[in-house]
Amino acid sequence: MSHSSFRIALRFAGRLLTAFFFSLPAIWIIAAALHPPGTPLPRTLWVAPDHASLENFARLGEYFAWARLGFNSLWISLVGVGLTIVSASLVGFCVSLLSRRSQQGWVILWLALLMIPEIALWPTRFVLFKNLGWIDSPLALLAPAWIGASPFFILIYYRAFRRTPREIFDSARIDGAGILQSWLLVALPVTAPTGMGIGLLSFLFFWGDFTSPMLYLTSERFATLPLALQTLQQLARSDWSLMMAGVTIVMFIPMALFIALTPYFNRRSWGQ
Amino acid sequence: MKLFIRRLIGSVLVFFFTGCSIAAQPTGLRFMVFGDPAEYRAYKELVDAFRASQPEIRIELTHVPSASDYRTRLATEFAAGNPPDITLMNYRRYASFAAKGMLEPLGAYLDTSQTIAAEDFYPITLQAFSWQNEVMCIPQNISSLVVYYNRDLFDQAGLAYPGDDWDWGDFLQVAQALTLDSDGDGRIEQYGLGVEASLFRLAPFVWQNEGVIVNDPAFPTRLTLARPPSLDAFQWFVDLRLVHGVVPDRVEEAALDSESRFLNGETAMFLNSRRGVPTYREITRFQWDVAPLPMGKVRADILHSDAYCLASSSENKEAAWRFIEFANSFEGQSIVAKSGRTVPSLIQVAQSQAFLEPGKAPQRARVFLETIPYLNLVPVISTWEEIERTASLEIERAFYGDISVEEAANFAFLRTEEYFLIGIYSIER
Amino acid sequence: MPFFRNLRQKIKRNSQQSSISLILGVYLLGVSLLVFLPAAWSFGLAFFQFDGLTPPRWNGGVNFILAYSDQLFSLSVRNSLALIILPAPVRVLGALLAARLMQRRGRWIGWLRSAVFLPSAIPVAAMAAAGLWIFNPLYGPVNLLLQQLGLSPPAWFVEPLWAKPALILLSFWSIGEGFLVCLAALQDIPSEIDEAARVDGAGLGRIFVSITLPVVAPTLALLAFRDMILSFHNSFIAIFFTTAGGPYYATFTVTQLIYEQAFDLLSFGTASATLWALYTLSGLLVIGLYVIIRTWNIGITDEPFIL
Repeated sequence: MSHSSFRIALRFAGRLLTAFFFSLPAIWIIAAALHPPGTPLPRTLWVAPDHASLENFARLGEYFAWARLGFNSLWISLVGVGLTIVSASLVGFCVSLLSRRSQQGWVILWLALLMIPEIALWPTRFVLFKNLGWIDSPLALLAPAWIGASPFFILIYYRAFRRTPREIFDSARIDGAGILQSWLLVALPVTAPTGMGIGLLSFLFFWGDFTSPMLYLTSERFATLPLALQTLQQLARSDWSLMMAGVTIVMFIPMALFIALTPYFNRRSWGQ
Repeated sequence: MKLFIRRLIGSVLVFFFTGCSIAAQPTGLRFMVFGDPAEYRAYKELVDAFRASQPEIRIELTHVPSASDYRTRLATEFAAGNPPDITLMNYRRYASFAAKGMLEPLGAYLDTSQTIAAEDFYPITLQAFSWQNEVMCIPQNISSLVVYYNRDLFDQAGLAYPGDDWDWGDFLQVAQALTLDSDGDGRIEQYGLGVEASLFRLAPFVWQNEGVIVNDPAFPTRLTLARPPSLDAFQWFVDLRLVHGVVPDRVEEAALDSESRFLNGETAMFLNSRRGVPTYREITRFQWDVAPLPMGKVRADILHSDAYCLASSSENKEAAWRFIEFANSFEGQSIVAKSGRTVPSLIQVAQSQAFLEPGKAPQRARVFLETIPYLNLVPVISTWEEIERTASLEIERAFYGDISVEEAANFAFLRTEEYFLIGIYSIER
Repeated sequence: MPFFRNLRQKIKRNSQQSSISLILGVYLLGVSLLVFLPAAWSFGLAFFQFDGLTPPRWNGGVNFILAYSDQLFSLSVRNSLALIILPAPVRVLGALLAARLMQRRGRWIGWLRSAVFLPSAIPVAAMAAAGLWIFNPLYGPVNLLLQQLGLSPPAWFVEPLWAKPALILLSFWSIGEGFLVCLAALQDIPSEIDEAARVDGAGLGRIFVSITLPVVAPTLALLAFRDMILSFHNSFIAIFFTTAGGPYYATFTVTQLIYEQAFDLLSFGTASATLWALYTLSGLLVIGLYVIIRTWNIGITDEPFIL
């Protein structure tokens, strides 16, 4: 059996290497962010840790109010996640209760929606939001939550409900529960892991949204963190360590959230 | 729940069909500026001073970092129907807004003002902002292109500081002497010069060689970099990189730009307008100063000027004018001048201590005033920004050796021809 | 609560169907307002001159002439194809390989899977800004690494020839979503088949080609198409931050062109005319997708929909 244990070791090494490769950007970004400002950039790959400095993070404050932008990003993302879970799961649930033929139609619709490039919507959405008075309002950033943020999320929910045994919903219906009740009391709880996954993905969707704030916000009142990167990119184009400090701020919360949720996903077998 | 949904649908339909607005209406006036944090602080101070003197008008300051992005932002806001009441615009960029009637002409306001008068300004600044024979915006500054130099590096090399009458030969000699490969590894550690490869940077050198960048300054229809005196200057400019190597190559420039190199003390001279001063004043590791551009066959320099413009859709033009008037009064221009950002367009302020500020870098601040008689304008056309952007791409290719200057001049002409054709001109034919 | 009593009465009247219709109706209204209406609008706007300030004016086909005679148009279409359509299959294949490697349980498997997804948790804008540093020609870690390996690395974003590869390489880190989908798809392969093949002495490569690929092929195809469509958007942000269409138009895509026409020059009509090209491009993709759906009967058979 030494052959098989060798294979396992080889596979493990391959996995470690792959994981390392995918960790590289984060490592490089943080390493650059810790480079003390005003000193020449190193021309070697490994920087001695005794040179590390947090000064760049302090300097960020000169360029943008990161606390306020972070707060905006956070509340807009959280509201967006809540609304997305409600709309995506409700729509997915309702469709899963329809007849087979109708279900096919809806799946085709979602696939078609997935295929519309977002750029096709920017100019006219801009005109639409202008007429609705949503320009420079968080509504413009949250609008996608109305339609489940992305058809992709609805599809995932739909698939989760399809995989849930029908008897669970049927027994709830016999008890006299309405759609909203069986959705709230039965469907959502049994698909909690899916909900976690969608929650995370939709958080990344709203947190990382760059074009909506860029196009639809005119004042700084509701500006979100990705816009700050644009500021840095224009003002400190060659100040690499400062820019990487900005990138660190923007990626910190989603990455921390993801890492914090990893044990949860581990317990429930990934990708299900 | 159903009721809620019904209400939601109802309200959405109402909004959709009536187009009624639920966005909060801005209170007071919006004033939009561009620039780095140091520049932003100067305008913040101006707004605060205005608030102290006229508390009944509220000004909300909005800030966009880069000048190139500024126009996109402004265009979007005008299209959104909610433009800032007052905007700071460069004379190379305001024409596209003026041509669409988005700006309120300010000539009549200026004529009736009790505080400021046209005669108080350097005439060339008002000329730059005159659109179809009317003053469109009120200029706040009049900067030349100057040579910022690191005094410590000159001292170390035992070189005299640039004189007021140095010429192209002196300039090149100094740049060569300050380009150093100190550890002999074949890679240059210190460059003599940093300059952006763009039409706007090249233009003064063309003029110094008695060349022209466009065929007719009053009503230009094409770029003329291919004409002999212009082309010679272009070649000389490109040779700084390709023959003499006193400027970083493309890869080095992309890895770390020349302005950062100047700030780090790795580049001896850097060409910029007055706008660099607030940032450079934060330099602690070396002393720096400014010198005029070197002289070619003749003296020539290029105007940099920004002005306060008023949106024609503003609902409170009277109040907005009062702010513009304040910003361009002796007091207002002094506040911004003290930040180091501007060379004031008001003659009186430019010659006052608020601008000259002895004891503060640059010590030779008078250089900015002495070059004013030699300032030239680029044409004011609604499509000038596209013309500059397109031509600069070709100039950059020549500068880094991809194509010859002849090719670049020709491409620049061909690719900008259409923009001259569709452009709307400041002067009606 | 009266609300629930009210609801219960309605259910007694068997109005479940109507509440489903209501919910889906609200959803459809949103889709119409936020997607169909803007999409149809931009389709029609191509025939008008519109600057967002004054009411649209009919100008027939002039916008199309303006848009398609622009030298930058054909260049940007070529760039889009190179940056969007070519890398997608490779990205999806990478995601599948990573998923296959991380498929079965083992030591630290959860955390290792987590590491693969990690760069995808970085917002596209942040990743693009980081890309400028990672691929910095002189100081960036990628080139320092390559130099230590004895290679003379290219200047990436600075060279017209290497700017596209740099953008594509950067996007390879963010394959997390495809990775998760592939993991899910691979769960559908019964492990007994896998084991039986291995006992029969089939090599890893053969198992992959003859067992794994056929099972997940529909998923991969879907993913690849979705990847391309998403890339229209993501590559715009990446380019916006890194090269701004340069060096010398090497990364100037249709999306960049539309953005410039609409939001910089305020000629929404010309932008819409250019959009038609994009619709055509994605229309071809939709047709390709439809063929795949019909061929593999995705979402039409009893099999639960895989995505």
